[in-house]
Amino acid sequence: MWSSEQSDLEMTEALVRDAAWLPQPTTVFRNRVLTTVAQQQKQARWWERCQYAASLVIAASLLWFLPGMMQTLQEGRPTAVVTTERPDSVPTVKPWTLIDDYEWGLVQAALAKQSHSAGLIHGLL
Amino acid sequence: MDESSPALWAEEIAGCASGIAKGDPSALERLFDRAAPRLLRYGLTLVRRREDAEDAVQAALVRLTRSPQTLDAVQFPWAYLLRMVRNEALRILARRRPVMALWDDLTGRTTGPNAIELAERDAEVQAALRRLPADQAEVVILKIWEGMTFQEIATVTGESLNTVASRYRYALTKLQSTLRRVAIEVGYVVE
Repeated sequence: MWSSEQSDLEMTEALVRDAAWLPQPTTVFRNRVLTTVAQQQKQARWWERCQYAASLVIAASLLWFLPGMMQTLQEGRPTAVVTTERPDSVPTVKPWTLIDDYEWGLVQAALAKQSHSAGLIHGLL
Repeated sequence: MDESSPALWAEEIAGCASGIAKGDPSALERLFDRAAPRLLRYGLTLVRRREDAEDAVQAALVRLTRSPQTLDAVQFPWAYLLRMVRNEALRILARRRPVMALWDDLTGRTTGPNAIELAERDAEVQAALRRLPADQAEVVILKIWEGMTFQEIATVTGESLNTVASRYRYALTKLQSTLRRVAIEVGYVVE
Protein backbone atom coordinates (compact mmCIF):
# COMPACT_ATOMS: atom_id res chain seq x y z
CA MET A 1 0.00 0.00 0.00
CA TRP A 2 1.35 3.38 -1.02
CA SER A 3 0.43 6.48 0.86
CA SER A 4 0.00 9.86 -0.78
CA GLU A 5 3.19 10.97 0.94
CA GLN A 6 5.28 8.72 -1.24
CA SER A 7 6.31 10.11 -4.53
CA ASP A 8 4.16 9.37 -7.53
CA LEU A 9 7.22 8.38 -9.51
CA GLU A 10 8.13 5.71 -6.98
CA MET A 11 4.57 4.45 -7.14
CA THR A 12 4.78 4.24 -10.91
CA GLU A 13 8.11 2.43 -10.68
CA ALA A 14 6.62 -0.09 -8.24
CA LEU A 15 3.59 -0.61 -10.44
CA VAL A 16 5.72 -1.29 -13.48
CA ARG A 17 8.09 -3.50 -11.49
CA ASP A 18 5.25 -5.67 -10.21
CA ALA A 19 3.83 -6.00 -13.70
CA ALA A 20 7.07 -7.49 -15.01
CA TRP A 21 6.51 -10.35 -17.38
CA LEU A 22 8.65 -12.65 -19.47
CA PRO A 23 7.69 -14.08 -22.83
CA GLN A 24 8.53 -17.77 -22.81
CA PRO A 25 10.35 -18.94 -25.92
CA THR A 26 8.55 -21.71 -27.76
CA THR A 27 10.16 -25.09 -28.29
CA VAL A 28 10.12 -24.46 -32.04
CA PHE A 29 12.05 -21.22 -31.57
CA ARG A 30 14.50 -22.90 -29.18
CA ASN A 31 15.17 -25.74 -31.59
CA ARG A 32 15.52 -23.35 -34.52
CA VAL A 33 18.09 -21.21 -32.73
CA LEU A 34 20.12 -24.11 -31.40
CA THR A 35 20.10 -25.87 -34.78
CA THR A 36 21.19 -22.71 -36.59
CA VAL A 37 23.92 -22.11 -34.06
CA ALA A 38 25.12 -25.73 -34.34
CA GLN A 39 25.24 -25.40 -38.14
CA GLN A 40 27.20 -22.17 -37.87
CA GLN A 41 29.66 -23.78 -35.47
CA LYS A 42 30.08 -26.74 -37.82
CA GLN A 43 30.77 -24.41 -40.73
CA ALA A 44 33.20 -22.39 -38.64
CA ARG A 45 35.07 -25.56 -37.63
CA TRP A 46 35.21 -26.73 -41.26
CA TRP A 47 36.58 -23.36 -42.33
CA GLU A 48 39.18 -23.46 -39.55
CA ARG A 49 40.28 -26.91 -40.73
CA CYS A 50 40.61 -25.60 -44.30
CA GLN A 51 42.75 -22.71 -43.11
CA TYR A 52 44.88 -25.10 -41.05
CA ALA A 53 45.36 -27.43 -44.03
CA ALA A 54 46.28 -24.51 -46.30
CA SER A 55 48.82 -23.30 -43.74
CA LEU A 56 50.34 -26.77 -43.57
CA VAL A 57 50.64 -26.97 -47.37
CA ILE A 58 52.34 -23.58 -47.54
CA ALA A 59 54.72 -24.45 -44.70
CA ALA A 60 55.58 -27.82 -46.27
CA SER A 61 56.19 -26.18 -49.66
CA LEU A 62 58.54 -23.68 -48.10
CA LEU A 63 60.43 -26.38 -46.20
CA TRP A 64 60.68 -28.49 -49.33
CA PHE A 65 61.85 -25.83 -51.77
CA LEU A 66 63.68 -23.34 -49.58
CA PRO A 67 66.86 -25.37 -48.82
CA GLY A 68 67.39 -26.16 -52.51
CA MET A 69 66.83 -22.57 -53.49
CA MET A 70 69.26 -21.32 -50.84
CA GLN A 71 71.90 -23.80 -51.96
CA THR A 72 71.53 -22.70 -55.58
CA LEU A 73 71.90 -19.07 -54.56
CA GLN A 74 75.00 -19.81 -52.49
CA GLU A 75 76.66 -21.72 -55.31
CA GLY A 76 75.94 -18.87 -57.69
CA ARG A 77 74.32 -21.17 -60.13
CA PRO A 78 71.62 -19.57 -62.18
CA THR A 79 68.29 -21.17 -61.79
CA ALA A 80 67.15 -23.39 -64.59
CA VAL A 81 65.44 -21.50 -67.37
CA VAL A 82 63.26 -23.14 -69.93
CA THR A 83 64.09 -21.94 -73.45
CA THR A 84 63.00 -22.78 -76.95
CA GLU A 85 66.42 -21.83 -78.38
CA ARG A 86 68.21 -24.63 -80.20
CA PRO A 87 72.00 -25.26 -79.80
CA ASP A 88 72.77 -24.55 -83.46
CA SER A 89 71.16 -21.13 -83.25
CA VAL A 90 73.44 -20.00 -80.39
CA PRO A 91 76.20 -17.65 -81.72
CA THR A 92 79.67 -19.21 -81.70
CA VAL A 93 82.91 -17.49 -80.49
CA LYS A 94 84.95 -15.93 -83.32
CA PRO A 95 88.77 -15.99 -83.30
CA TRP A 96 90.54 -12.91 -81.78
CA THR A 97 91.74 -10.40 -84.45
CA LEU A 98 94.08 -7.40 -84.49
CA ILE A 99 91.11 -5.08 -84.58
CA ASP A 100 89.91 -6.68 -81.41
CA ASP A 101 93.36 -6.04 -79.86
CA TYR A 102 93.18 -2.40 -80.83
CA GLU A 103 89.67 -1.95 -79.44
CA TRP A 104 90.64 -3.76 -76.25
CA GLY A 105 93.53 -1.29 -75.85
CA LEU A 106 91.12 1.64 -76.21
CA VAL A 107 88.83 0.19 -73.57
CA GLN A 108 91.73 -0.34 -71.16
CA ALA A 109 92.93 3.24 -71.70
CA ALA A 110 89.43 4.63 -71.07
CA LEU A 111 89.09 2.56 -67.91
CA ALA A 112 92.50 3.69 -66.64
CA LYS A 113 91.58 7.34 -67.23
CA GLN A 114 88.25 6.88 -65.47
CA SER A 115 89.96 5.19 -62.56
CA HIS A 116 92.51 8.04 -62.28
CA SER A 117 89.69 10.66 -62.28
CA ALA A 118 87.75 8.71 -59.70
CA GLY A 119 90.86 8.56 -57.52
CA LEU A 120 91.31 12.32 -57.76
CA ILE A 121 87.70 13.00 -56.85
CA HIS A 122 87.90 10.54 -53.99
CA GLY A 123 91.04 12.30 -52.74
CA LEU A 124 89.30 15.68 -52.86
CA LEU A 125 86.37 14.35 -50.88
CA MET B 1 9.55 -14.08 -13.70
CA ASP B 2 13.23 -14.48 -13.00
CA GLU B 3 14.00 -13.41 -9.48
CA SER B 4 17.81 -13.33 -9.79
CA SER B 5 19.44 -10.21 -8.44
CA PRO B 6 21.36 -8.16 -11.04
CA ALA B 7 24.70 -9.25 -9.54
CA LEU B 8 23.79 -12.95 -9.51
CA TRP B 9 22.36 -12.66 -12.96
CA ALA B 10 25.52 -11.00 -14.30
CA GLU B 11 27.58 -13.74 -12.68
CA GLU B 12 25.45 -16.43 -14.28
CA ILE B 13 25.73 -14.86 -17.73
CA ALA B 14 29.48 -14.46 -17.25
CA GLY B 15 29.66 -18.18 -16.45
CA CYS B 16 27.83 -19.05 -19.66
CA ALA B 17 30.07 -16.66 -21.61
CA SER B 18 33.13 -18.35 -20.20
CA GLY B 19 31.75 -21.76 -21.18
CA ILE B 20 31.01 -20.60 -24.72
CA ALA B 21 34.51 -19.18 -25.04
CA LYS B 22 35.97 -22.53 -23.92
CA GLY B 23 33.89 -24.36 -26.52
CA ASP B 24 31.53 -26.05 -24.07
CA PRO B 25 28.62 -27.15 -26.31
CA SER B 26 26.08 -27.01 -23.47
CA ALA B 27 26.98 -23.44 -22.50
CA LEU B 28 24.98 -21.88 -25.33
CA GLU B 29 21.98 -24.02 -24.46
CA ARG B 30 22.26 -22.88 -20.86
CA LEU B 31 22.55 -19.29 -21.99
CA PHE B 32 19.51 -19.67 -24.20
CA ASP B 33 17.40 -21.31 -21.52
CA ARG B 34 18.27 -18.64 -18.97
CA ALA B 35 18.49 -15.51 -21.04
CA ALA B 36 16.17 -16.01 -24.02
CA PRO B 37 12.99 -14.85 -22.22
CA ARG B 38 14.65 -11.61 -21.11
CA LEU B 39 16.30 -11.08 -24.46
CA LEU B 40 12.97 -11.69 -26.16
CA ARG B 41 11.24 -9.22 -23.87
CA TYR B 42 13.85 -6.59 -24.64
CA GLY B 43 13.66 -7.35 -28.34
CA LEU B 44 9.88 -7.04 -28.22
CA THR B 45 10.19 -3.61 -26.66
CA LEU B 46 12.12 -2.47 -29.69
CA VAL B 47 10.52 -4.28 -32.61
CA ARG B 48 7.08 -4.95 -31.10
CA ARG B 49 6.52 -8.13 -33.09
CA ARG B 50 7.16 -11.53 -31.68
CA GLU B 51 8.66 -12.95 -34.92
CA ASP B 52 10.99 -9.99 -35.29
CA ALA B 53 12.08 -10.21 -31.68
CA GLU B 54 12.83 -13.92 -32.15
CA ASP B 55 14.81 -13.13 -35.30
CA ALA B 56 16.80 -10.51 -33.42
CA VAL B 57 17.62 -12.90 -30.58
CA GLN B 58 18.55 -15.66 -33.01
CA ALA B 59 20.77 -13.37 -35.07
CA ALA B 60 22.52 -12.14 -31.93
CA LEU B 61 23.21 -15.67 -30.71
CA VAL B 62 24.45 -16.78 -34.12
CA ARG B 63 26.73 -13.76 -34.23
CA LEU B 64 27.96 -14.69 -30.78
CA THR B 65 28.98 -18.17 -31.91
CA ARG B 66 31.05 -16.67 -34.73
CA SER B 67 33.26 -14.92 -32.19
CA PRO B 68 32.74 -16.85 -28.96
CA GLN B 69 35.60 -15.15 -27.11
CA THR B 70 34.02 -11.70 -27.33
CA LEU B 71 31.33 -12.12 -24.68
CA ASP B 72 33.83 -13.53 -22.22
CA ALA B 73 36.24 -10.67 -22.81
CA VAL B 74 33.85 -7.76 -22.17
CA GLN B 75 33.35 -6.18 -18.77
CA PHE B 76 29.55 -6.46 -18.70
CA PRO B 77 28.51 -9.58 -20.66
CA TRP B 78 24.79 -9.10 -20.02
CA ALA B 79 24.85 -5.49 -21.20
CA TYR B 80 26.87 -6.61 -24.22
CA LEU B 81 24.36 -9.34 -25.03
CA LEU B 82 21.48 -6.87 -24.78
CA ARG B 83 23.38 -4.52 -27.04
CA MET B 84 23.83 -7.31 -29.59
CA VAL B 85 20.08 -7.94 -29.57
CA ARG B 86 19.48 -4.21 -29.86
CA ASN B 87 21.75 -3.95 -32.90
CA GLU B 88 19.97 -6.86 -34.56
CA ALA B 89 16.58 -5.38 -33.70
CA LEU B 90 17.59 -2.07 -35.26
CA ARG B 91 18.76 -3.92 -38.38
CA ILE B 92 15.39 -5.63 -38.60
CA LEU B 93 13.58 -2.34 -38.13
CA ALA B 94 15.67 -0.80 -40.86
CA ARG B 95 14.71 -3.65 -43.21
CA ARG B 96 11.05 -3.80 -42.33
CA ARG B 97 8.56 -1.13 -41.69
CA PRO B 98 7.78 -1.21 -37.99
CA VAL B 99 4.33 -2.58 -37.38
CA MET B 100 2.50 -1.98 -34.15
CA ALA B 101 1.39 -5.40 -33.03
CA LEU B 102 0.36 -6.87 -29.77
CA TRP B 103 3.00 -7.91 -27.33
CA ASP B 104 2.69 -11.32 -25.84
CA ASP B 105 -0.55 -11.89 -24.07
CA LEU B 106 -0.53 -12.61 -20.40
CA THR B 107 -2.62 -15.75 -20.53
CA GLY B 108 -1.86 -18.18 -17.76
CA ARG B 109 0.77 -15.98 -16.22
CA THR B 110 -0.95 -15.20 -12.99
CA THR B 111 -2.63 -17.52 -10.57
CA GLY B 112 -4.43 -17.08 -7.29
CA PRO B 113 -7.61 -15.42 -6.10
CA ASN B 114 -6.92 -11.97 -7.52
CA ALA B 115 -5.38 -13.30 -10.72
CA ILE B 116 -7.81 -11.48 -12.97
CA GLU B 117 -7.24 -8.19 -11.22
CA LEU B 118 -3.45 -8.62 -11.49
CA ALA B 119 -3.71 -9.69 -15.12
CA GLU B 120 -5.69 -6.55 -15.83
CA ARG B 121 -3.09 -4.44 -14.04
CA ASP B 122 -0.30 -6.08 -16.03
CA ALA B 123 -2.18 -5.61 -19.26
CA GLU B 124 -2.67 -1.93 -18.46
CA VAL B 125 1.03 -1.51 -17.70
CA GLN B 126 1.94 -3.29 -20.90
CA ALA B 127 -0.42 -1.13 -22.87
CA ALA B 128 1.03 1.99 -21.27
CA LEU B 129 4.56 0.86 -22.09
CA ARG B 130 3.49 0.09 -25.65
CA ARG B 131 2.24 3.63 -26.05
CA LEU B 132 5.63 5.04 -25.06
CA PRO B 133 8.21 5.76 -27.76
CA ALA B 134 10.46 2.69 -28.14
CA ASP B 135 13.57 4.53 -26.92
CA GLN B 136 11.79 5.51 -23.69
CA ALA B 137 10.17 2.11 -23.18
CA GLU B 138 13.51 0.37 -23.53
CA VAL B 139 15.07 2.54 -20.82
CA VAL B 140 12.17 1.78 -18.47
CA ILE B 141 12.47 -1.95 -19.08
CA LEU B 142 16.23 -1.99 -18.67
CA LYS B 143 16.02 0.10 -15.52
CA ILE B 144 13.06 -1.46 -13.76
CA TRP B 145 12.86 -5.00 -15.08
CA GLU B 146 16.51 -5.65 -15.75
CA GLY B 147 17.68 -3.66 -12.69
CA MET B 148 20.44 -1.95 -14.62
CA THR B 149 22.12 1.30 -13.63
CA PHE B 150 21.94 4.32 -15.93
CA GLN B 151 25.60 3.76 -16.72
CA GLU B 152 24.90 0.20 -17.87
CA ILE B 153 21.87 1.33 -19.86
CA ALA B 154 24.03 3.96 -21.54
CA THR B 155 26.43 1.16 -22.49
CA VAL B 156 23.61 -0.85 -24.02
CA THR B 157 21.94 1.98 -25.90
CA GLY B 158 25.08 3.87 -26.84
CA GLU B 159 23.56 7.10 -25.54
CA SER B 160 24.96 9.50 -22.97
CA LEU B 161 24.14 9.15 -19.30
CA ASN B 162 22.11 12.37 -19.34
CA THR B 163 20.05 11.27 -22.33
CA VAL B 164 19.25 7.95 -20.68
CA ALA B 165 18.27 9.62 -17.41
CA SER B 166 16.07 12.16 -19.21
CA ARG B 167 14.33 9.46 -21.20
CA TYR B 168 13.61 7.56 -18.03
CA ARG B 169 12.21 10.64 -16.35
CA TYR B 170 10.00 11.50 -19.36
CA ALA B 171 8.79 7.92 -19.59
CA LEU B 172 7.91 7.70 -15.91
CA THR B 173 6.06 11.00 -16.03
CA LYS B 174 3.98 9.73 -18.94
CA LEU B 175 3.39 6.38 -17.25
CA GLN B 176 2.43 8.11 -14.06
CA SER B 177 -0.41 9.98 -15.72
CA THR B 178 -1.50 6.91 -17.70
CA LEU B 179 -1.39 4.47 -14.83
CA ARG B 180 -2.77 6.60 -12.02
CA ARG B 181 -6.23 5.07 -12.33
CA VAL B 182 -4.75 1.55 -12.27
CA ALA B 183 -2.61 2.41 -9.26
CA ILE B 184 -5.68 3.53 -7.34
CA GLU B 185 -7.71 0.50 -8.40
CA VAL B 186 -5.03 -2.00 -7.44
CA GLY B 187 -4.33 -0.16 -4.19
CA TYR B 188 -0.89 1.25 -4.88
CA VAL B 189 -2.04 4.71 -4.04
CA VAL B 190 -4.64 6.10 -1.64
CA GLU B 191 -6.81 8.87 -2.97
